[in-house]
Parts: sequence; C-alpha cells; structure tokens
Amino acid sequence: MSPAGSEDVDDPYGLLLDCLEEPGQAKSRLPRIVGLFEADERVTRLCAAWGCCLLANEIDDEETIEYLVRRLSDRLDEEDVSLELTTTLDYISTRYADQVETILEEMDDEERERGELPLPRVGNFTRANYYSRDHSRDGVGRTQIAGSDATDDPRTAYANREREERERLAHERERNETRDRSAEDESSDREPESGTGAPMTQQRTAVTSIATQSQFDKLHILATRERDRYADIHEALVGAGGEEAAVALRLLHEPDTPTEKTAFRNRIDVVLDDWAHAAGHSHVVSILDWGVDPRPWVATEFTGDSLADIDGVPPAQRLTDAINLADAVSHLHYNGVVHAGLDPGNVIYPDDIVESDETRPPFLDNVGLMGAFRFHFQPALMLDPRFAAPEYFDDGYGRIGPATDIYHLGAVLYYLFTGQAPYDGQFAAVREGVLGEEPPAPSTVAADVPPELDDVVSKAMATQKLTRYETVSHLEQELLSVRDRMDTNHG
Amino acid sequence: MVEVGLHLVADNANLTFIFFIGLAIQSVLGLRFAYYAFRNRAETEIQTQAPIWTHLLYIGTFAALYGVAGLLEIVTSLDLAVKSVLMLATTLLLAFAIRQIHYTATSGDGGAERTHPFERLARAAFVGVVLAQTVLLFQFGVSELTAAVESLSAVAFLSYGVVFYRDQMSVGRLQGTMLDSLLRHLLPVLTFAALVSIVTLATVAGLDRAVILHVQVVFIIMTATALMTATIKLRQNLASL
Repeated sequence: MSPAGSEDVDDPYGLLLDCLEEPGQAKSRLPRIVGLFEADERVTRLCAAWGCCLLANEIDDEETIEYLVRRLSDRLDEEDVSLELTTTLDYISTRYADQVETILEEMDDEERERGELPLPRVGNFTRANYYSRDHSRDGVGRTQIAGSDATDDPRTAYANREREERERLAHERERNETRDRSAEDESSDREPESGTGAPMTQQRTAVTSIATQSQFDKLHILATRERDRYADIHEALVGAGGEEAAVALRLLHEPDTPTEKTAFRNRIDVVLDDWAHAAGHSHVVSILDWGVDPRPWVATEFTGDSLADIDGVPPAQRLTDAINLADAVSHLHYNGVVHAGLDPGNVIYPDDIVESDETRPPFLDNVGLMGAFRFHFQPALMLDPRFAAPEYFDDGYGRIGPATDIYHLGAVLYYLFTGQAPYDGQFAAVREGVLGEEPPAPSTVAADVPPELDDVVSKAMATQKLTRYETVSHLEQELLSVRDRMDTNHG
Repeated sequence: MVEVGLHLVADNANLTFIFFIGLAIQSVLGLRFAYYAFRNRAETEIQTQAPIWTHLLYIGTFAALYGVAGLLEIVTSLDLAVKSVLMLATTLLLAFAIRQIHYTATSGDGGAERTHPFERLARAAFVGVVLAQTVLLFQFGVSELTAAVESLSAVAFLSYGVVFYRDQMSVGRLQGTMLDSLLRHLLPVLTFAALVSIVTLATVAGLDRAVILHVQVVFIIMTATALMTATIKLRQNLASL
C-alpha cells in the first residue's frame, strides 16, 4: 500500500489512504478517484466508492458535491454501470438530497438547452437515460424476429439460429437507437407511438407514483435493465423496515384503449395476487409488492438471464433443474395457478451467484401473466410458438389450463436437454409440427441426453390432453425415477 | 295387462328393498356417466377421441337401462328377464372401450390399422353371443342354458378387456396420463359388471336362486359406485375442453 500523499496515480489504496488521512488535500485528486470507477477490478472500484463517500462526507462543500454528482451522473449513461458507482451516487443523494436535487435539475435544464429529451428524475438520482431508448418492440416478442424474411406477422417463430439472431437483433437495435436519437433531436417532445411499452415520461410519472403507493419506505431506480415481452424492467433499490434490497421493478405493458386498460387491470390484479400467493417456492420468482395504479407494476426479487439467453446448462445440472422446474410448476398448480406462458424465456437463472462453482438454480418467472395478457395481446408476442401447446393453435384441443403447463414444461425440458426447440421454422411450419407430428426424440438430437428422458418429454408434449401427463407430479415423479436409475447405473 | 305395484324379488322383502336401492343407483349413475360421455364427445374436436366417448356413452346408457328394467320388474308386473342382456352388453362395451382406449393411446388411430383379422372375428363373435342370448331369453326365458351362456360370455368379455388393460399397463409411456387414469377407473366397472353375470353360473351348479340374487345385488351396487368414480375422470376431462 502506498503511503499518504502518494503520487502513484495507479494505486487505489494510496488514494484511499489520502482521503482518510488528509481529505482536504485529497480533494485535488477527485478526478483520479472518480476515474477508478472505470477499473475492471472490483476492489479498485470499491476504493473509488469509499473515497468519494469519504470526501463527500468530510469536505462537505457544495463544489465537491456538485463535482461528484455531475461526474458520477454522466457515467450512468454508460453501458456497464457498476454497482459501486450507483451506490456511491445513492449515498450522496441521500446524504445531500436537496443539493443533489438542485444539481440534477440544473443538469436537466442544460440537457434541454442542448436539445436532449427532457427527463425529470425519479426517486433520487435517477436520470432519464436510465430508461431504454429502445421504443420499438424489438425483443419484446421473441417470435417477431425469426427467419430472414421481413414480415408483419407477429406470430413468426424463432429460427433455430438463436445466437446469430440475437446478434442480428443487437445490430438492428443499435441502428434503431441511432435512428431514434436522430428523431429525438428533431422533435424532442415526441413519445413512442403506443403499443405495449409506455412512453418514458409516463413511466417516470408512474415510478414516482409507485414509490409513494408501495409498501417500500424508499424506492430508488438504479438502472433500466431491459424491455421484455411483459414489461419494462428497472433495476431498483428498495428499503422497508430498515432493510434494503435490490429488486426488479416491472412496469407491465398495457393495451392502448381505456376500456381495454380497465379490463386488463382487473385481470392483471387477480393474476398478480395469484402469483404472490404461489410464490412461496424456492424456484418461483418472488413478488415483493405489486399494484395496478397508476399502471400495472410488480416488484420482484432481482433476476438474471433466462434459459433462452444463456449458453446452455451444464449436463450434470440439467436433470436437477428439470426436477426443480417440475416441482415449481406442481407448486403453482397446487395453489390453483396456471403459468400458461412457460417457455425458456420465462425460466430465469439468477446472476447474483458469487462463487463460480456455485450452481445457478432455475426460477419460474412471469407466473400466470399470460392469463391476463393473452386476452389483450397477440399471444404469440408473449409466448414463443415453438414451445406453445396445441391448444394455443387450435381451440379444438381444449382450454388453456394445467395440461397446457405440462406441455410447455415438456417443451422447456426438451430445450434444456438438447439446446434446441422441439419445432423450428416460420409460424405455419411450427403450427403444423405442433398439431401434426412428434418432435425428434431428445436423445436423437443431443448425444448426452439419457434415452429414459425421451418418454417423459414425449408424454408431456402429447398433442392430446388425454395422453398427456395428468398432473405435473406424475412428470416430476418420472424425472426422479430417471435420476434414480441413472444414479444406480453410475454408482 | 301390466299391473303397477310392488313385486317382491324372490319373495323376499329385504332383498327387494336392497335391489330397489341398487338398481335406482345404477340407473342414475349410468345416466350421469352417459351424459358426461356425451358432453365430452360433443365438446372435443379431436376425431380420434370420438370412438372412446361413443363407447362410454353406450356403456352408461346400457347400465342405466339395466337399472330401469330392474326397477320396472319391482314396481310392475313386467317380467323382463331379457334385462340380463343389458348388463352383458354393458360388460362387452366396457371391454371394447378398454381396447379402444389402448389403441387410441398407443397409436392415435383407434387401432384400425393394427387390428388382427382374428381379433375382428372375436369381436363379431362376442356381439353374436349377446344377440343369441337375447333371442334365447325371448324364446325360452331364463334357463340353465341362458345362465351358462350369460356367465361364460361375461368371463370371455372380462378376459378380453383385461388383456388390453394389461397391454396398456405395459406401455410405460402412457402411465400417469389422463387416459391411463380413465382406464384404471374402467377396470373395476368391467370387473363388477362381469361378476353380475358370472354369478348366474351358480344356478347351473344348483345353488339357491335367492343366494345368487343376494350376491348379484352386491355386484350391481359395486358396478354403480365404480361408474361414479369413473365419471369423475369424464368430468375432469370435460373441464379441460
């Protein structure tokens, strides 16, 4: 560690020591300290956070606070905002709330003068650029982006080249963002036209209202995480009863017309209530709070990447994950809840695992939301058709119910074990496959799939409900039997 | 001229009362079973399932008719000896239903392509036996011959159904499904319905008719209660349609 007053600009410990011992002199090193937030090493960023908080606390002058707020806020626009930076800014904004409020207002005014979209704060340090500028529905319905043919049919299914598709989507999104920015420059007041995603100003107002209506003592938006099929998701820090927690604040998409909105809110209120009651399972995403005013929202535990987004699950973990997922669905059904939209996008793997050798357990997400959304949105926007049960394609196969979840679970297990969807291609081809033929047995698709699983998946994905598993418990039981047989064979 | 009034079964008031209760239950539950089978057939748009529901519809109908015929014998002067054919037909339809379920579950085509010519002949023979029994009963009334035909036919029908049931159970990929569950509920119905007919064989052996009727009424009640639990599966399936 460097001694106090060290001139070694690369030594974060030295800078931190300076802040501790001689904060007055260390003030001149603020640019270097703030620069440490860009470091890859977490310990360096922690030094920066500690140093900034120390200086803000010790020096306690307007100039230092303004400098810190401006520098740190500017960095929030960057892609990978570190937790250390947001926590530091949160600390300063809590400690000097009025001053930070004034500084942020000034920054907004300056941005407005520069022609940027006017973006008031939400919570404390939140700035508009936290919100995604992606106003299009790209990525909202996975099913929109399949194939190379441009089509207006929202029911298009994914092609089975998901990584290339994602890359292509990312490029398109970049282009769209550039285009959006240009458009914003031309007309700063323009909002997204409509659809499922709310305009940004509405979202900001909504979050402010949610903060006051929720059971949380405080609610700070840290970052906008993403826009998914069901909601705009914000990474938020909430406090209740003296404890703080990171949550995903989801502002659910809504229909456009007032009449539909009312009906949708009535439905989603019931659905979220069901989710909250059924969430007491170790593999179901928990709800912390929810409401439908000023728009439907739900605060859930912080989640991570979906099964559709990760590069597969380690073979040794797949069967355990399958059993856990079956147990979670069984738990939902026991509580009278039908997920109805289960696909790999709704199986979440948390990204808060610290140790690299720690396995990531799967969680069921967006529980039951399909039960409300499918009455107001094109279901194919909310559920990947390649994983959808026959009853979604043809009413003749019966209602959406527990048996639907069993089919979807079978399709998810297919993907979990093989890395491929059971059916592939454009919507018409997928529909024909789902209604007409059995997918190739998983063990023929991937070499490391135990053949015993073929029957389990096939039975879960039976076209007719009569020949499908009657309950998820049966499916879970057979998965356990497969595991026991495998253990016996290997042991 | 048909007289309305109480006509005791085997001149035994207690037995008549139990028969009345058993047959009334059989009528109601048979009708209920038929109703839900009909609703399932009407609601489903999957053609391969239609034969299953049709079989179950007829099973319920024949079971109900057997109950009604028995009740009529008690409350009127009618002598409907031919009612035993209704129970025999119920047993045969149950065996056919199990066969149908097995083929539908394993091949999805109702087994049309896999039916062996011998098996087709056997089915035709079964139907022929039921028709012959009807003629015999009309022509000669209840006799040792009709009792023997009735009971041995029931044994054959029961065996036929059990063969398909065992085949079905050996197919691992069907266990735990709704169809598998329905099949498991139909087997007791088949067994008890067959036993109602099989016990008549005891008359050939010279056992007292009153004793046989006491045993028979027990199996009638068991058939009705087994039908009741099978109806639950029909209702469950209907709810999912």
